[in-house]
Order: sequence, then structure tokens, then C-alpha cells
Amino acid sequence: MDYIIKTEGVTRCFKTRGEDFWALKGIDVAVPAGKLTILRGRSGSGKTTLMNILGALDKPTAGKVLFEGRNIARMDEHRRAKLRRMEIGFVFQSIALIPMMNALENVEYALRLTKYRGDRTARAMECLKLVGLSQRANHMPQELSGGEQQRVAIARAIAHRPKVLFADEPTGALDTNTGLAMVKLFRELTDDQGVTIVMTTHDTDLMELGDRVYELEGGELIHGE
Amino acid sequence: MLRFVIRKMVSKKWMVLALLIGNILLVSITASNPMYTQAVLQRTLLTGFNNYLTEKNRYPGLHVLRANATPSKNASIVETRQLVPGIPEAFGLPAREQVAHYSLSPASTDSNLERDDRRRTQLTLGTMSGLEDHIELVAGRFCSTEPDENGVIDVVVSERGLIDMGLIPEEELTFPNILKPDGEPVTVRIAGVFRNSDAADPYWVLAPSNYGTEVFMDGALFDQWFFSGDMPYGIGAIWYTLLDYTAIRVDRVDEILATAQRYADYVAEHSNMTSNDNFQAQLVEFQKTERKVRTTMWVLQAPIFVLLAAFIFMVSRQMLEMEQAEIAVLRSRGAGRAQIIMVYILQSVILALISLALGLPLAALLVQVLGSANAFLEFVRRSALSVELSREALLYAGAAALFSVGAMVLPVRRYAQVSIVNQKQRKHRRSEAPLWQKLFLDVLALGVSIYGLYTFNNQREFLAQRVLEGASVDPLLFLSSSLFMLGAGLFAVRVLPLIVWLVFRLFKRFWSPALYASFLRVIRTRNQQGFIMVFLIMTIALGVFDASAARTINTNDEQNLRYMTGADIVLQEQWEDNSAMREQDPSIELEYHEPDFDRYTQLEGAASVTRVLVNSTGQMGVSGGSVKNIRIMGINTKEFGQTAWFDESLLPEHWYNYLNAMSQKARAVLLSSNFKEDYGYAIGDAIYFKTSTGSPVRGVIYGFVDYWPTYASTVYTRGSNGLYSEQKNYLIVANLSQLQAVWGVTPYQIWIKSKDSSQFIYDFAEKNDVSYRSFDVAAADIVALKNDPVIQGTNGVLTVGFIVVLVLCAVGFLIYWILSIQSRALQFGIFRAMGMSMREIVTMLINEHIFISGAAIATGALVGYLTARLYMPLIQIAYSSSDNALPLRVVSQQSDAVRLAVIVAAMIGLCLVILGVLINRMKIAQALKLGED
Repeated sequence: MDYIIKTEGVTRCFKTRGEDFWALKGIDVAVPAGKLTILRGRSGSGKTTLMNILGALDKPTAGKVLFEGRNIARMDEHRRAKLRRMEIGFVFQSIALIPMMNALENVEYALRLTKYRGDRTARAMECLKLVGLSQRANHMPQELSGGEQQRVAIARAIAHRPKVLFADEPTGALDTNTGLAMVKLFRELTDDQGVTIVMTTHDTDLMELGDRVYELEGGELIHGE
Repeated sequence: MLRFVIRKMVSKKWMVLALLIGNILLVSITASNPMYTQAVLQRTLLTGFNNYLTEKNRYPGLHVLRANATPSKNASIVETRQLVPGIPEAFGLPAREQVAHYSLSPASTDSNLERDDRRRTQLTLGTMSGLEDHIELVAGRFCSTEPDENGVIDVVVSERGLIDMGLIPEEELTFPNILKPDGEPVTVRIAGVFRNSDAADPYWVLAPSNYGTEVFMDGALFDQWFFSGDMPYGIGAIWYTLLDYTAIRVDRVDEILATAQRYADYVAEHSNMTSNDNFQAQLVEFQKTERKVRTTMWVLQAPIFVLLAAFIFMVSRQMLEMEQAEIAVLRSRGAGRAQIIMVYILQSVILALISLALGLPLAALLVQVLGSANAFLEFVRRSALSVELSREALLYAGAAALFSVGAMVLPVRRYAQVSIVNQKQRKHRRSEAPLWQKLFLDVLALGVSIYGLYTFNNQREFLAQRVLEGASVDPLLFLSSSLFMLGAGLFAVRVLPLIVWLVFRLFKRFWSPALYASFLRVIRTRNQQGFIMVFLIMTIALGVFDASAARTINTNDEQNLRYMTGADIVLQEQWEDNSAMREQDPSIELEYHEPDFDRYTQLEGAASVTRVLVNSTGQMGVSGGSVKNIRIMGINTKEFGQTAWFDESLLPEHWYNYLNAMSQKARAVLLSSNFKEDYGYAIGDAIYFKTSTGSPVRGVIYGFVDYWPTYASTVYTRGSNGLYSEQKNYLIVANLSQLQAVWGVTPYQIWIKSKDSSQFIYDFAEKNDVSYRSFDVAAADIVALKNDPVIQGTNGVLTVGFIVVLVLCAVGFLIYWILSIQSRALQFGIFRAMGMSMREIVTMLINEHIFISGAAIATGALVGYLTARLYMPLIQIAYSSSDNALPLRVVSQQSDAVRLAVIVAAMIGLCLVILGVLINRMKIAQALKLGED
């Protein structure tokens, strides 16, 4: 199988009140390309920390993170920002749209950042259509429901055709049905568009939908498939 | 509850600090107003009295009661005598001295010596209380307290008295018509001769030399003989009360005047009494100044108060905005509205108390700053003001503190009603346009202020007249200018986003992501920025206006003074002439003895010296009559050009060109332009002019001028009806040599340009003991001008206002931006996660700064400048004197703009650094978590 990200012995230590807290204690995972990978665990298990490290938002205390063979653990902030911009998309648990831009502009803005060549508005509309929101393109975030906002966030995250889409508890703020619809959307994106997706969840029900599932507890991998 | 409040305050320490700063400033400025006014007025009062003392050599605190001498009126004297010791208490002032002078009507005397050379036999027998302590005996001894065995008493006379009365020491004089209670005539022996022991002793209201016909006897004996029984002799009484004028306090001036009036009324009830004092006229004059100073102070400070209030309101609202969630949570948990309001009342009371404690000492400090302000942002050492914490100051401070409590608590009411549900709902609503925008208050304010400006401009002359009559600045004028600033500022806030929007739309495709985001933020969240923009615009506008106002007032007054004086030093010696001889024989021609002019050219400190003949009695025949009272100036063109002070921009061409033209021909003259306008003269015309005494001089017109050193084209003179009216002034400038050829050498002025200080002229005058007819030193006059309490107060208030504006601006700016960054942590997290680099985020912030703060600051500067341009010509009227001759120019000094710019730049720089640190510390992941609310 083709892996887009691989980690070797990743650890992450947070200093809190002078004491060391090991959020990750040597993790080895591999993210297959074009598949849906799920990181599962209870809160505090370290899954978000791991995802932030995989997504070049955070640096590991030790270990290697190979993104298409490049060790992003060693990259400086500037190059990591570029990596995030060009090759990675994020969807967060908190609904993270830019409040002063409408749905279309939010998606378009991601394209602006990546210096997308071509018709940005058309591409943005295309992505909104993909998540089923083309009707609401001109609405401001606060005028959309939670599920709709999250779908805009997904449209924004995939607009510039990133190699990997990271989603941190994308269903966390949503009700069960909307959440399920969200994961179905992810499924479609991997199956139809060939997007690689990494998502975290604490929901055991969603695990079956993943191509690969890692389960964490106390910063250690207890189950990897 | 208190602990909860304190914990809450500690957790929001920066906001609380900002609120505290605002509060402290508010309290201290409010309290400093009455303190300063009080102190500066006190100083003015005292200076006025001291000047009176040195100039007139009369004790300013003197109060005099007089009663006439006829036997029938003695009752009133006895009555008044009882009353006199109560005078100091009635005035509420300690008395330095109370002197009672009693005397009998002059009566004839017989000497015991065989003399036929007695100059005067009518002598006055009198007594003066406290005499012994204030004299120095030149010869002999002091009065006796008892008659000797022959019934003779020792008396003293002044040196002048001895001569005037032609007395001989030890001579005995008998008053045949004045009998002692035992029926014997009074006999006195000239036992001593005195002079005053100290020439400056205020005891001697009239110097001893004024008592040329009086012999002084012991007071107790006088009482015993003449104040007892049926008092057959009329007694003349004068009671001098020397009130300690240095103890007169400004707030008691009214009472003192009332007391003086009571005594005047008392005197009016008695036909034989009169009274006078040295302080009433001064105090009445002072009251005028006082009113002027008070109005000016309030009027100037009003905008600062408004700004401070707005600041406190803004910060407390920001804080509430931040605590909205907490309030909502508290509400949902069952806290009552009253409880929540209580929390804020407690908090604001704590703040108010702290600011009272710190604000009052700061106010005292401010007063010293105000008192030493010489010009705008310029301080000198003056005698320190005596600052006191008057009840008035405390009252004002308390009111300010109470006000700020109100400003902090009032907005809470709205927030306290909101539960968590409303709050979420509100958050998701699109922000609406603020009320003032919907009601077009900005347009209204602009309209009203421009109408006011228009009206005032039409009433210019009326304004000028009122000022001459002693009125202060019309508060409405200042109100109008403040309203203009507010209106223009608000209008700019309405218009600016539209301009930004237009720029954004026009080039939408080309904006970098950072610019794009900042544009959108500025456009779509403009109501959030509305307040900070209004605030910044107002502060900067006020700062610029204050600076410009102060500069304009100072520069114009100073330049006007220089212009009207003519040169650094202008003096005229007292010339000797043969007028005494002419009185005997009018046929002799008047001849002057010209003092040596070369003494002045050789003066070390003089850069250049020239002779200027000035005569204001010029006459000239014109078509249809003659013009009188023309100002004729005879000058030596070259030296005059080097010596006189003149602003070259006053005339269309450099004034040297006029001088050069004049120097071409001896008969050349320059005329004031009103000759041309009123009588149709043209260049090249020949004229004849003369003075009231001299013969006619022929001149050829070489030019017309609107301005010339010391020349004012119109003057205001007070007519017989007490009103001021405008009067035209005409001027003829001729070559001095030409005038002297016709009129001979007549007294001229000497104009001197100093190298730097003008001190040398005083030294010269003192060393050579020259007497001057006129003596004007511009530098000294400028110092006097700067000491005028109104000018002083204005400079002080404007300076302090400017400083306060800077502080507020800096604090308000920092708070706004730090809060705006903190509240947007989530947004930055998103941007960062989307791959925006730090650099881009900082770029974005800088862009926002440019669109919001930059635009606001630029607008503020513009508004301030505009306000100064439009209103200063009117406001200046209030500060100018009747001889304001120069056209008003609105002065803005670059250094002030630089100061303001440097401070603003430093502020923005500091702000960016703080923001940078904040953003840098902000972990993206953390930011995203933070945003999860």
C-alpha cells in the first residue's frame, strides 16, 4: 500500500506547572494515500496532539514524521506554513470559518492563500456544490447551521486540492445524523475524488467507516489496523 | 461579594488599569480646574496689589474712615471710635496696623518766648496712636504722659513741622482757647522732633512731612482732656486700618467688597464722615478678570472632559463586552439583575476611591504644570502657585468620581438583562448601524456648527467690542467648534468605510490574501471599530486644535506686540527745550536741545539703532476737507530697515523694496492704503502735509502700504458713551532728513534692535540716569503678556489638554487593539492552520492599522486643522487687545505635529510589538481550542 505520511517513534511532551506530561509516548502510524484513516480515543488520549503533529501544526518532542518522505519534524515554521497552505487542509471540531467572510469567500480565501491559478470563484462554487451547499454560497457563517458551517469548512479544506485533509472531531459539535452525513461525505471524497483523509473521533460507531483505524489511550497506540 | 469583585478585577487587570487611568485623569483634571483657577487668581490678586504698592507707593490694604470736627458731631466720633477696632474682624482680615489720628481744630497759640518772627500761630493739637513705635527722634524726647508741676505737657513735632511752624525746641506754647478739664488753657512744650524711622513703613499713610502744622501729644492725656465730659471741642478723627492685603483670598473678595460697602453705607448715614480705601477698585477690576479666567478655563477644558468621559465609557463597555459571557452565565445560574449591577457598582466605587486618592495629588501637580506653562508645551520657573485643596476642588473631584461611577455602571443595566441564550442570539446577529448614523447626528452637528460659524463671522465686530468691554470668550463659540469637530469626526467615520469599500471593490482581484482579509474586516465589522475611530479622530483633532490654538494665540499676541512696539527697544528721551523762555517772550522760536544720539549707537548690546520721528498730529488737505491726526513717521530708510521688526509677508512685496524706493528721493513718501481708497491718491501724486505746529512739507507718493511698524489701520476707541467704536488711522512715512529740514530737529524716538537680550538698555539708563518720556522694551512687554492670567491659563489648559489627549490616545489605542487581537485568537488560529505565515498575519494587522487607526489619525489631524482654520480667527478675538493690528494667521508649528506623530508612531510601534508577542505566544492548536465557545 502507498503511504503518504509515516511516523517513527513520535513523542510529545507538554510542560505544565514544571511537570512533564507525555501526551504521546512513541507512536508509529502510517497514513495510506487516498484512504480514510481514523484516529480514535477518549479525550486526553492524545489523538488531537497526534493529528496536529501529522498536519504540521505542532512539532513532536522526538521522532520522525515523514510527509511523502520529507521529515516535517525538522522543518522550520515558514516551510511548514507553506506545506499546510499548499498540501494540507484542515477541518476543526470548533466551527472555524472566518466570520467576516461569507461561505463562498471563505472557500475562495483558501484558494487565494494557495495562489490558485484559474477561476477561484468557479472552483469555490464547485467545492460548495460538492458538499451540497451551492444554494447558500452568499450567506455569512452566523447565518448557517452548525452542520452547514462544518460543510463549508470541508469545502474550504479541499478547495485547493490538498494531498491530505485533516479533520479533528468534525462531528463533535454536530448531532448524530448530521455527523453521520459528514462522515459519509468524507467517504465520498476518498472514494470519488481520491482525497486522503485523517480524522479523529471518540465515537466508536463511526470506526467502521474508516479504511484504517488507530486507537489511542494515554498517549500510546493500543490498536492499529 | 467584595472578594469576588476584587478577584474579578485582578483577572482583568489591564482593563481595570486602563479604567483607572481614565478615572484618575478625570478626577485630577476636574479637581485641578478650581484649584488652578483659585491659585492663579490668588497670584494675580496679590501681584496686582504688589504692583499697586510699588507703582503708587500706597499701601493696598488701606481703609480710611474720617469724621469732621464740630462739637455738635462729636457723638458720631465717639460711636465710630467704638466701631473701629472691629474693622479687621468685619473684613475677616488681620490688620497690620490700626492708626487713630485725633486732632482739634487749628487754634491760635502764644509763645512763652519773646518772638516776632513766628510764622504761624494757628496750630493743630493732635495725637496719633502708636506714634512712638514708628518714629525716630531727631532731637529731644517723646511726649510726656502727665503735665509737669506747671501744667505743661511735652509734645513732639515732625521735622517739617518744626520748620513750617518756625518752632524752637523747648519753646512753650499756650492755646488760650483750649482749656483743660480743670479750666486752665493747654500749654505744650516742644520737647522732641521726629522723623519716620523707616521710609517704607505703611504706618505713615501720610508721611510725617504732611503734618506741618500739628503738634502731637500723648494719646491717653488727649482722651482724658477732650474725649470726656461734654466735649466742647470739635474733634477731627481719621482712622487708618492697614488690612493685611496678602491675606485676601479670592473666594472672599465678594465678602470684602460687601463689607466695604457696609462701611460706605455707614459713612453715608453721617453727614460729617467720609471714607475711602485702596482696594475696592482693584477688587472690582479683579472680579472682571476672575470671571474671564473662570469662563476661559471651563470652556477650554470642556472638550477634555467630554473625551475623558467617552474614554471611560468606551473602556467600561469593552470590559462588559468581554465579561458578557460571564454575566450571562451568572444570570443563568440564578444571579439577580440587582446582584450583577451590585458587582459593578462595587467595582466602580473601588476604582473611584482609588482615583480620588491618586487623582487629588496629581491635580496638585497638574496645577504646578499649568502654572509654569509659558507657552504651549513650554514651561518656565515662576513663583510656585500655592495649591490648596479647597472645598470646591474636593466637590468637583467628588462629582467627577461619581460621574465615572455612573459611566461605568449605566451600561451594565443592558448587559445584566442578557442571559446566555440572548447572548448567543445577539452574537449571531449582524451588527446594526449605530443610532447616530441612523439619525444623521453627524450631519446635524456639522450643520449646526457651520451655521454657528457663519453667524459668529457676521458678528465679528460685535464680538470684538464685547471683548474690549471685558467679556470673555463666548462659550457658544467654543461649543460650536467642539461640535464641528465631533460632527466632522462622525461624518468621517460614516464615509471612510465607503471609501475603503470602493478601493476594495475596484481592485478586488489584485489584493494579496493578507490585504484581502484586512479589507473585509474593516468593511464588514465597521461598527466595532466605529467607536475607536471616533475616539481616535476626536483625540487627535483636539490635540491638533489645542496645539494650533495655543500657538496661534501666543504667536499672534507676541507678533502683534512686536509690531506695535516697532523694534526690540523703542524709547524717547526727555528733551530739554526753551519753552520756559518762550513763556516770557512768545516770539522766540521753540528750540530743542537734542540729546547725544551717539551714546546709543555705541551701545554694546545693540545690533542697530535708528532715529524715528513719530508725530500723530499730522494734517493734510484732501479733496473736500482735510484729514487730521495723521500718524507721520520720519525715518532713515537704511537703518530703519535694519532695526524695525516687520513681518515681510504683510506687504505684497518685501518691505525693503518700499524703503529702497523711498531712499531714491528725499521727498518720497509712503502713504497708508486708505488714502488711496478714501481719497483716490495714486503713486506719483504730490501732497502737502504738516503737523499741528510745523510748516507744510511737500511729498511725492512712492507707494501705499497696509502695514507699517507701529501702524494700525483701524483702532478701537472708547467714545464718550463708554462704547468702543472703530476709527480709521492714516499714515505718512517720510524721510527723516526731509522733515527735519522743514521742522528742525524735534524730539524723536530711538529704535534699537538688540543683539540678544535687551538688558543693556536698563543698565545704560540706570548708569547715565537718563529720564525717558517713553520706554518700551518688547521682551519685557512679552513677559508681562505671558503673565496675564487668561493667557497663562489658556496655555496651561491647552498644554495639559494636549498631554491628556496623548495619554488617552495611547491607552485607548492599546486597549482596543489588544482586546481585538485577544478576541480574534480563533481567527488567527484558522489563518495559521490554513497556512498563513506569521509575516502575512502581521501584514494583515498592519493593514488593519492603516485602514482603521491610520485613517482615523489622518482624519483627526485634518479635522483638527480644519477646526483651527475655521474657528481660530474668531477665538483669537477674545485674546487680542484693542490695538490688534495684524491680520490673524492660524499658526501650526511643525514641531507639534512632529511630537504628535512621534507619540502616535511610538504608540503604534509598541502596539505592534505587543501584538506580535501575543500572536507569537498564541499556539495555533491552543487558539483553536480557545475558540470553541
